[in-house]
Amino acid sequence: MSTDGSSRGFGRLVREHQSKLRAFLRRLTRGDAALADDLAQETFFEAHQKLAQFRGEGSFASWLFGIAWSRFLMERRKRKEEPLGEILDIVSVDPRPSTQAKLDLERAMARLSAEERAALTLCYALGHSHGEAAEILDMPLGTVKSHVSRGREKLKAMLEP
Amino acid sequence: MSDDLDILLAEPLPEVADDGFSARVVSKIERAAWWRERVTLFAPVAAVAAVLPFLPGDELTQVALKLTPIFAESGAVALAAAALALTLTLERRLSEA
Repeated sequence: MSTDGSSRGFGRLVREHQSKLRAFLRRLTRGDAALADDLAQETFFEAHQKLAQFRGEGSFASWLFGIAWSRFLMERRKRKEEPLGEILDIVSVDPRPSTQAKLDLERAMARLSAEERAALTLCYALGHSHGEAAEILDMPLGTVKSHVSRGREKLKAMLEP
Repeated sequence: MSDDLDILLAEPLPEVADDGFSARVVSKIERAAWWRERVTLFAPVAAVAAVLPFLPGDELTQVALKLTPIFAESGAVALAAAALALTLTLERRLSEA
């Protein structure tokens, strides 16, 4: 992994991490791809500026996702969360090929709080441990565990036939 | 349901095609670096230019007029100035390399 800060070396890091980061942000923004991409761009820009601060204690991906999460929180503070109906429309017109179950999951996910969406996505889809998720989200371990468990219970109730 | 839900949740996030995203990020970073370099280079010049009108111009001119012939005639000062210029040029070349 290159952390030399040169734009070419950093370009490699961007190419390596862009897909997961943008997908994570799309889930946080409940399917708003344009907003997610803006946040992803700001995240990489900030990461490049702060590259010297990355001490390699955790993985680069965790550090990057931490920046993305704080960018998302700043954006959320700036604007009130949009009404759920509009966002569900965005999710339902997502052009990605998707099975019905996946679409149902995305719809149900959109009804969770951002903290629950983030914790579930990090711990399940991205395979981070609860401890890593706690670091990324800058939350106590117990809080992350309860977001995961509460979010999962809500999803279960929403997806039950 | 729980098992199904866990399997569904554990599915990797969908691939997002790059479609020029990485190139846009790198280009933004390079643009910012270009501006930062210009600002670093010209900020001291701008600062001096901003302060210049408030300096006692006549007195400075008098001092400069007195010192110029002394510097011009002094071999030691000329050598020191040349050494300083060479050092600064070398340092700049090294930092660019």
